[in-house]
Amino acid sequence: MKMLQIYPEKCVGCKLCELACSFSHFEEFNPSISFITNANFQDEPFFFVSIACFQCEEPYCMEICPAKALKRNEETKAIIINKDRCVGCKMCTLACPFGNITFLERDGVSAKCDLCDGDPKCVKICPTEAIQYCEISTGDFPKKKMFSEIVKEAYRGKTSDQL
Amino acid sequence: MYGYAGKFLHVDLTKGEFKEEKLGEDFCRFYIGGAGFNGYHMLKKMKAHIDPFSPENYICISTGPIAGTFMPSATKTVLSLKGPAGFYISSPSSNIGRFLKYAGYDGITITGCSERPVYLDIFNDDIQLRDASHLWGKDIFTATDIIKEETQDASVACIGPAGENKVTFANILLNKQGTWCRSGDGAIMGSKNLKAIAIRGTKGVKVADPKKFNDLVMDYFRKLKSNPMVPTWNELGLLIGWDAWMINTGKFVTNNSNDTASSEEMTTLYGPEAYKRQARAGASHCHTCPVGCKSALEVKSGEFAGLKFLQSTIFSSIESFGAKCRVGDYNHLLKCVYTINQYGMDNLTFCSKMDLVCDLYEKGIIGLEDTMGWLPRKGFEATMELMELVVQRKGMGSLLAGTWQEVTKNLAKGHEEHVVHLKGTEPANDLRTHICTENFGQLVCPRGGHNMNALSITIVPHRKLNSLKKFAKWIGMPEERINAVVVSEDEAEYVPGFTKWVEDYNVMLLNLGLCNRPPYQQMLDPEACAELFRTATGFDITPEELLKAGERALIMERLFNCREGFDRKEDQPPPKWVTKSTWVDGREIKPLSQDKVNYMLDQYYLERGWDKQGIPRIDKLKELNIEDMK
Repeated sequence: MKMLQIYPEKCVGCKLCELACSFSHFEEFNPSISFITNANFQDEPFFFVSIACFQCEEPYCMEICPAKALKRNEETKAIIINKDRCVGCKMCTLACPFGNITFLERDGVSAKCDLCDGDPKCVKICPTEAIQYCEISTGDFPKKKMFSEIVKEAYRGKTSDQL
Repeated sequence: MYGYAGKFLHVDLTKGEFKEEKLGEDFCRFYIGGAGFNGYHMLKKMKAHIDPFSPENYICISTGPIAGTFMPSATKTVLSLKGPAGFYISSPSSNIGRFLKYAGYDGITITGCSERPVYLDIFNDDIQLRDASHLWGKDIFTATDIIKEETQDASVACIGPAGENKVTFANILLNKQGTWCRSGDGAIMGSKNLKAIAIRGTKGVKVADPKKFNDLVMDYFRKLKSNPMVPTWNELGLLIGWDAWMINTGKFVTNNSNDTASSEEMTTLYGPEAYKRQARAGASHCHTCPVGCKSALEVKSGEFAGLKFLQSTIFSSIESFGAKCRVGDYNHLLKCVYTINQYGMDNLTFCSKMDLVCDLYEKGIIGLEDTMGWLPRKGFEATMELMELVVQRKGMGSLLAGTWQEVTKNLAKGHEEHVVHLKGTEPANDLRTHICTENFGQLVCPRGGHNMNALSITIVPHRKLNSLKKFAKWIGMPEERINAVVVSEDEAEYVPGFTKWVEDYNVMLLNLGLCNRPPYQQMLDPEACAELFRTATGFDITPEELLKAGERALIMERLFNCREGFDRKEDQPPPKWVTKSTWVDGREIKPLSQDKVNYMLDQYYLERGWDKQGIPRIDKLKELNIEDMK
């Protein structure tokens, strides 16, 4: 099973993920209805990070929905909102601690990342591979490797006696 | 509407009124966007001979139909207004344009003057003039942060104390990084008591043929990914040109255009290696652009260690603080850049004026009584001192805060030949050392010594005929004009006529909302642009019509200036370029001859369809269907 893996250190804040998402879902370039949001920070001008639904194992959004409009896709494991069942109560937007549910005012329903049915467009368009779609079982390996490189540099050149 | 938002917003600061104006297909196909939209407003709405600092001046900000989409670089925005020196100013920058589209506008115009300091808050149809008294006096960075807090992270164009004090070369920073600069854009905003413009929205940009648009754009992404120069653009930004066209061509003008800085010294202090070691903290990307040629900068050691900020291009700071003011290593240069960005002033203008003062003082033309006690000298301390004086218009600063014309009158009366400017804007480059479209373009650019409109392959010297012809064909120069103009490798022969087509092409890109830097020039010929336009808007257009719209925008800018009484005499180079030599690494470069300059101007006017005085002919206006604008 695959998940979205975010690498903020690779993110350059180009905002293409937001646009690819809204375009693929709504045929419209509109960051305000994108399911992925790229954040930038006034006090850290070099840092950017994209946040999209974490597809929780115990999704509060699914639990709270009174209309049983949220279901897990068995293949992608993404939580999908059935807009025909959704009554627009917005409880899911309250329940999600991360703000990852979007309420679409003009449609009167909630919407969220559905991993593009296994072919996430944000991953495709990201020019720096700051968002990747990778196997969960080995998904953390690149990060572990990256961090161990940093540790390696700290130890570089020291003999085992010095260590 | 597809591509376009379909609306202009007109703001009257005096009355506190806002009006919307709908756009139709014919208008859009005729003016396209960006510089074209602005030109239309500037000519139609503004009377001639108004005082630029009066309420009658207009600030026009427009973007293009592709802006807001995920086409790489689709966020270019043009700001136009009547500058402090009285000329038509058109400044391009990035990022804010797409937010205009999300708010539901293709462009805005701002006129009048607010009684009290305000900032314009645009959120979809909700337009407010918010009190800015708590922001007035604050530097750009602090004010932008506060406004972003107050507007849920809107895109913010802000002036600093320099703009508030109407320093005639005050600039506007977009989100603390991009600049609308060089010719006093910020001063005009300051004169209107307008501290900032904050834009955000929740509307979307739709395209007429989503599937085809997607395929076209994905192809451009692939092209950029496989462009072998893109990683270097990302790493070095404009410094990619260090060896090819910066050193050895006299780019680093110094000593008031009497000389150029030593290539060896500049390379040691500021070249790519020094940049990577001492200044570069990463790349910075305009929204939607995978190239990322802007800079994330950090002072890595010394007194100012830890200072970090984003910037458009380090190159302009090297040629100003580095070459002209001699502030020293990157540690000091970055501090100067950070400071001038906070104040909101243009670095090239400031440093050129400081350079002039030092030259005049050294020659004994002015003394300490003329500089009101400020000791003219170069270096970091002197630069920081003088910047402080200028932003506050104190002592010497108040003198230098005036236009180049005023500075000439007040400091160099009887010695005007020492002052180097064109139409009130100092040149970025010296035409004596290299005749190329960028440098020649400074003579004829509506705002003076500016060269962004005329960027072409000629920036690298000694281009071969077949490269020139290939590029000319690519940018849409008709076969019979190539055969008439691009006939020899003598730059004085082909550059003037060539410049016309280069300018039209670059403004075509700008009108669409796209970037004209080389990675994009290499991908987007007029045919590609027309296809993008048709696919996005659903409107019919030919490549020729798009190029004509670029030409039309530039002619409107020229007409505006003609209406003010400007003509060939304002296209003349600074006296020094035709009377004095300069030096490049010990090689003497003789001045241009006035005959050569006259010849080049004649060639350009001919190509443009203007008369001998540089005034567009009526048949040219008829050809562009704007004869009613005469």
